Amino acid sequence: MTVEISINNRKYRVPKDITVLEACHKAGFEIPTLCRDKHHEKPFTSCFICLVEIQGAPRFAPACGTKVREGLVIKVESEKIFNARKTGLELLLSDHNADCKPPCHWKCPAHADVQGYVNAIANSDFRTSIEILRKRIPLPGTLGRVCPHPCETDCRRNYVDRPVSIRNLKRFVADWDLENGPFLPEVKPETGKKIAIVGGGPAGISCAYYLRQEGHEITIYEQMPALGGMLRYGIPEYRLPKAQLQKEIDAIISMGIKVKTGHRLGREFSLDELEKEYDAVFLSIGAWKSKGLMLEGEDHPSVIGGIDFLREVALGKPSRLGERVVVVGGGNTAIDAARTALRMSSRSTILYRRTKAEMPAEAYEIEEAAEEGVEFIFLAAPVAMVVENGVLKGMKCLRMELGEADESGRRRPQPIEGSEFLLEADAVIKAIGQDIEKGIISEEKVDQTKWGTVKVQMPIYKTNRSKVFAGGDLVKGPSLVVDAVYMGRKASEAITCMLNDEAFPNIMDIVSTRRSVDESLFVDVEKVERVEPEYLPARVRKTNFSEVDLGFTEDDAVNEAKRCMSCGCQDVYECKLKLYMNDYQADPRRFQGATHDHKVDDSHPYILREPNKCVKCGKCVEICDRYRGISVYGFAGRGFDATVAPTLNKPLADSDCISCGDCVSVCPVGALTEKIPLEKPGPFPAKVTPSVCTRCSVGCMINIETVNDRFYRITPRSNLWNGVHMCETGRFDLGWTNDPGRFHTPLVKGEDGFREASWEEAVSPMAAKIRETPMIILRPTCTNEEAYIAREMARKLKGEIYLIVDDHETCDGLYPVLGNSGSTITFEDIEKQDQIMIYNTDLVNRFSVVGVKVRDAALKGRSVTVVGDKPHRIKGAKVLKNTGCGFLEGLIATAAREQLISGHAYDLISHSEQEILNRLSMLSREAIEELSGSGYEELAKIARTLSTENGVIIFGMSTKEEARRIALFKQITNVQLIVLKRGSNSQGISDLDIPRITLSELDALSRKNIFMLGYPPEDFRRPETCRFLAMQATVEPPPYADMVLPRSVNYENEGTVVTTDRRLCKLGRSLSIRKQNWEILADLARALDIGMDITDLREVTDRLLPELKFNRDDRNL
Amino acid sequence: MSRTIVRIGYASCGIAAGAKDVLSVVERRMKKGSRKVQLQKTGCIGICFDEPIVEVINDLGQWTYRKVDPARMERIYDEHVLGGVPVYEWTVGELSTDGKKAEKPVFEHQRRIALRNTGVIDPESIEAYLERQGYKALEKVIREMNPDSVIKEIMDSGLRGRGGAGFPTGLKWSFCKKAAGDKKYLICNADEGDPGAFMDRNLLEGDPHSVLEGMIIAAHTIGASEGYIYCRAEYPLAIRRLKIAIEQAREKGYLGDSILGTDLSFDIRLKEGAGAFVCGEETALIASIEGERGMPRIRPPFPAEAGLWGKPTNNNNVETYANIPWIILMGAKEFQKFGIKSSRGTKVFSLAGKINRGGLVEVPMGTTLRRIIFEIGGGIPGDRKFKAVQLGGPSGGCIPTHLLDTPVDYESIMAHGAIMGSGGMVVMDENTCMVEIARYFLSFTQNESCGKCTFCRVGTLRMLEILERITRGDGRESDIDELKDLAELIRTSSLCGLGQGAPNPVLTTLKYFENEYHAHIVEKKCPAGACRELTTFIIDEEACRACGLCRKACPSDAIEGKPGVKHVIVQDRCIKCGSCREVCPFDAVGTG
Repeated sequence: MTVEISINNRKYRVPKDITVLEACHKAGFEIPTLCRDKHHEKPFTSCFICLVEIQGAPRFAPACGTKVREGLVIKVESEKIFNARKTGLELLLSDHNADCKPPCHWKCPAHADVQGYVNAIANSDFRTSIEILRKRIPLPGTLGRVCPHPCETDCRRNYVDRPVSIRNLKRFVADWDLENGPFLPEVKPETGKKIAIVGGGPAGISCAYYLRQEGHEITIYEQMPALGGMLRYGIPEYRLPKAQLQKEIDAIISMGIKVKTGHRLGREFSLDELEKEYDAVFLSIGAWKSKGLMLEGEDHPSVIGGIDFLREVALGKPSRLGERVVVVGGGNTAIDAARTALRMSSRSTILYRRTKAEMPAEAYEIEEAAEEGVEFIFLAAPVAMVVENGVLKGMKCLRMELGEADESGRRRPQPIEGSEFLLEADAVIKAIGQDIEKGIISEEKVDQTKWGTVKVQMPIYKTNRSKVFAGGDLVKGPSLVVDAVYMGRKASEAITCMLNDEAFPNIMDIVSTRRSVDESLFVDVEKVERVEPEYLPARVRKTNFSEVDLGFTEDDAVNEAKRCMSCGCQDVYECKLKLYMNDYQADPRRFQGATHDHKVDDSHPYILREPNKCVKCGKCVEICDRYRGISVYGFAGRGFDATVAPTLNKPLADSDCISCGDCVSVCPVGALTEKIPLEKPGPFPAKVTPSVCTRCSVGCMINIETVNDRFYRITPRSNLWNGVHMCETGRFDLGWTNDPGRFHTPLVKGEDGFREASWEEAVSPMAAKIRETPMIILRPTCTNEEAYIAREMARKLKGEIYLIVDDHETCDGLYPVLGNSGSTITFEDIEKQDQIMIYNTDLVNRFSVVGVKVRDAALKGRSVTVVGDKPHRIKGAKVLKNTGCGFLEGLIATAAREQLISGHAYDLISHSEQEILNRLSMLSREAIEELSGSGYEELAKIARTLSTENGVIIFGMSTKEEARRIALFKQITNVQLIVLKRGSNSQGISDLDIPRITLSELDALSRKNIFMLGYPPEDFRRPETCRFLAMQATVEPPPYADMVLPRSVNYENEGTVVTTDRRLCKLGRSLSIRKQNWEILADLARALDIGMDITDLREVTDRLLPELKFNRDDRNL
Repeated sequence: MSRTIVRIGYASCGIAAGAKDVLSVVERRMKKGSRKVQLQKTGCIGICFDEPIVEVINDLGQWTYRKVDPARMERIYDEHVLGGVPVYEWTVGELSTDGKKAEKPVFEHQRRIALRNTGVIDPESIEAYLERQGYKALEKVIREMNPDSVIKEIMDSGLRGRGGAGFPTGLKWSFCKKAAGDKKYLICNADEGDPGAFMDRNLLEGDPHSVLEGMIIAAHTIGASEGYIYCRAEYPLAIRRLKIAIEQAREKGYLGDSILGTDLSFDIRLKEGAGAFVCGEETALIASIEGERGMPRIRPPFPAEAGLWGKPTNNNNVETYANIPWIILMGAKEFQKFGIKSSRGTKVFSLAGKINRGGLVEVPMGTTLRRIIFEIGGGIPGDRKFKAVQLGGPSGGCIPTHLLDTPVDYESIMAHGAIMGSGGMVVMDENTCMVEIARYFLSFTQNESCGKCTFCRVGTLRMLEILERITRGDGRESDIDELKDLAELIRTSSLCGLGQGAPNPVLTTLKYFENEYHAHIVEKKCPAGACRELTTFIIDEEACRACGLCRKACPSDAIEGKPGVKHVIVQDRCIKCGSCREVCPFDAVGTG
């Protein structure tokens, strides 16, 4: 049945009974929604972001809750709709009292992902750290040394104790990278576009670095003999060693960047020439001219510009300074000059017209200079140079006092009349600022401001010349290195847009921020002392140019990074609210007014609840109630104070939560997030590997997310059979996989217990043992491929192979009757069954996702009977308390009495089953009631519906006799079965014709060399007659084994498994650091020299596939 | 002399005014007395402003006394009950020309259908109800009519839902009757929650059986087997009397299995609501009965198809049900005689606010606001000017002076931006600030929002914050546009009537009194002198007679003066409560 509707004036035919939202999605219209997704049966219609116009309706309609009907005329896009959605988002954001990103990110002029790279260091994941860092900071080793770190000023740790030492962390990871890498980003395929960069300082290098990644051909023109600009010629060696800088620049140049040193604009080439030869030009020639003092005698050769002085020192051409040097100025250059001068003469004095408090230089640098012995004269200014007989004697100075504040907010110095004095000096360094060399630029016809900086169009940094961009000090005047780096990147983006003929995406990332932050928020945060690096002692360092700051050790860095409070939102990459606020350009600050400030609920072991981020969509309330039957969450309060919270607003840990994580899956924002099993959560961009969960036989479809070979989290693949549902074990029991205690190498037992051995040392002796009377034991966690290789090995060696399962009784009961132990339908088919019987199985605490499927079926009107007293939480289920063989026999007897048995069924069952059936067929109604403990009419109803309608019995881990009766019932009535097993692949291994064995049967066998694949059963003991026992383990080696091989878990393996509902699924290998189990077997086979050379797992899969019996092949999902 | 009946108004209004003490006087006197006196407690007769009300009925006639206190009661008992001579000076209304008989001008323009028994019978006695043709309509329906003819009768009568929306009752019943379902439910919405509204309360307290009878007729008509009365727990007297009435109806066989010997089975349960205003919205009310949090859900499906527990459900308001027995007995034609074309019958209103005779009135539809407020309600106290009347509670709107001749019917009121609502009428005089009134109603809806829809939960608060800053004197020029924008979005993007109607008080005050908003925002003045931050009280030297009343009334000792010396307000101490203005007999206190 379909209906015709119109969306935005186009007609569509859609199925009836769907919502407008679904119809619009089918027609390709994106409609934002926070409170609705396909995993909910009923719309909750709370967010009203999906609103649309319906012709004739007096109001907007929420698309999610409005059903289509014939002739419906819908408008989904208009200015009115856009504005309504935007306002809705702004209203939500007006009480979204939380940060998308941390303050350090915003304060960093380059907007580096500080939290990301610092958190990665805390996780000892330096590789991830440097990758994140390099995205915004191409010269991290340099900035890690010289940046005045504005990020630390805004670090929230300031409210607790002292800021995280972000700068030193950056330096640490950059130095680590140069030693172990460097890890540079990929360069895209060559575009054939050529770009010239004029000036190889930080802005130019940054621009070159980002443009090169795009695949453009880059040439840097540099007037000096080497690249680096002010970094090389303006920052002294003791702060930034030239060798370190060179390594960092070399790494970038190695990406394929051409360099022409000794090339000066206006001398060797002109802009006109570059414009002809190149597709774009980036100008970044810096500000190299020392400002003059405008005083008499300033032209004396002993009066030197600060930046000129530093450059000459860097070039190895030191000026002759004499005994006493006076540096005029209070900025970083003044400090650099004074400290450099101190290393070259006996006295170095800084003369500054204000006080220490007003000095623009960084406080720690002033401190370091003072420690070294630099003298300071405050509140004085020079009025003239005193030159006698051509020799500089000093400066005539005036004392100053501070008057009214000027525009910069600093108090203006005013001369004190009659306070003149003479300051003796053999040399004067004027470090009061730098200017741009105006002439060079004006000759090239580039527009300038009155200060000589280049005029650019923001934010694309384009000059008046069409192909010419500019950045760095040339544009902003003397400023921070990190500013230059930022401008280089922005210009690179603009240049790439121009070259690709695209518009520059001039959209700011809109984010939510907390309304107020003060100490009270952090009263519970433990104070941890900030780690300080070692410094060269002042008396040593003032004698040479060795680097003063010795940087962090690895331990220092990790400990310091752990101080980060990870203020940014864990959900920032996924949050729908953030996505929509950017799509709709919603202003989070449009509505100012009351906001809530709830406490973060950190009580739960796996789930973090941040109520300030909640949008009251109600999804968590519904999913928990509907699919888990629990109702952990509910609405509380009214009006603006309405909240969603656990019952009685208790901590989540004190609720009935079963840790399934469904609520986290559906939360559209960061109000409910999973705790990451790492020291710090990032958030990091993770690698996603689709796979199947093998923690039990149910086989939920999952995505494994990893960051640089560490587990990050597991999420359900929500478009597949299990939807957003998983269980606690599958979803959260992960932390141990990142355990550093897991061993990588084989352990061989010697006289003093186990010792680590190489693979070669282990495999050959093992092969020698296994060759004779071998017995291979498989555990159900093994993949089909492992089992197949092991079986072939055993066959060639004429040895034995067995499977030990933990629930063999069920199998023992089913096999003799059915010939297999398999389910006849998949979990997805449950909802298609009219009658569902759960036989004595706990679908709440075990196999909980199967419970979800049954609950869903019940809500869709299917009839559910629960047999036994195990918890079920299924609304409307019929419950029969009696279980056991008697009940099942009663059911069979009833089926016989009610003539529900098909005619030829009798011929299909074995003699012994025929005997049971015969016996039961004779029973009277009364006898049946006595046997089963249930009323006859009730039994008759169940037997009838199970056998004549679509019926299924779901059960697992039963006794042998119970399983046998269920199998018999199945054989005579054609009811469907779902058998729930514990071991993840016991189905697949059984299909491969590997016999099962119990532990006691194993004990009865004698004198063997045993190799067990997979973890041993809990009550496993070494058989007395066992001569050699090789086993597998992850963390704890079993003490009774002779040899232990590290076992890779299934997140680390390739291969296939068959789930208990007989779906063939493929494992995704998410981590690549460990040897896979099948590779160990292949090595062993090779060492055995039995003609098995296995190199390609796919061949193994192809070979075993015909033996498997599955309901469905899900390998390509 | 035969029996004398002493009838005391014993609804919440009477009890609040002191009826209990009056009652004990009569009870004490009756024990002593030897004469045949019968004491009756009855519901509200409508003149709440004059409570406690006592009526004395004997062979000579019926006399109604106002503002009776124990002392007055003693004298009435002596002179009238025992002596047979009415105490004319305390009877209601003006004396007639012969000086002997009292009239009740309050009732002159009223016509009591829903309230036909309220204030007349003892609500705790089913016999009293039966004496006045009680349950006769039910018998008629069962013996002489079938469901279709009942629906036709109701449709013909033109009765529309009295809960506010005005949906034709007969049509609603027909939907539910047609809906497929093995089980159907009936709901009586008694979750009256509008500030200043007490129609349903007094009706249930005064005549519960009319409502029950209406429900049983409806159940019979649509085929419902179970009914719920959803009554707010804040109405304990109504609940007590309903419980008594239900029990009595069961005993008499009007409720339960085989009603009146037929195969009709129907019973009623009482569900006490926990005082959430939103539960007056039918889908929220249904959720609340089901044990869920009272939150509305999207319609369709409408309750007539899938309501309580997913079954077809009919939901009407108290007053609607109370009209049913009358219509069945008197016929649709008789009902049609009242009201105007689109709105038939009568409507009960509760008059409150700045009005002389506050109380419960029932008038034919189409009566003008002017008549209700000035003729029935007696106009505004003092010499103050009428400013506006708020209709329909917090989801309604105000209607200004120049529209006083608007007839009360669904369409006319809606045309002016207000709604009929369930019948609350709050009268405002010239000292009422319309911005403050809008702020008050919005703060009510904001507090009562269930919190589900974004626009209602957050949007109404942002509007409220704007109104708060306007009344504080911090308003901005852009605020009026912002209010209009938000109001439009909240109106069009909320699921239920609470959210959709929440901006109405703001929109209507903006429509009729935008100049007051401007005065607050631009001139930083409150023309009504009600917003504290913007008001200065000043005593006019010319007008002041130095009587000292204001000085005595002032709670903060801010008025200086002596007898004979003109009074002055010391502004530092003034807390701007306005008490001086209220008490000044010479209108000498003004605002600047």
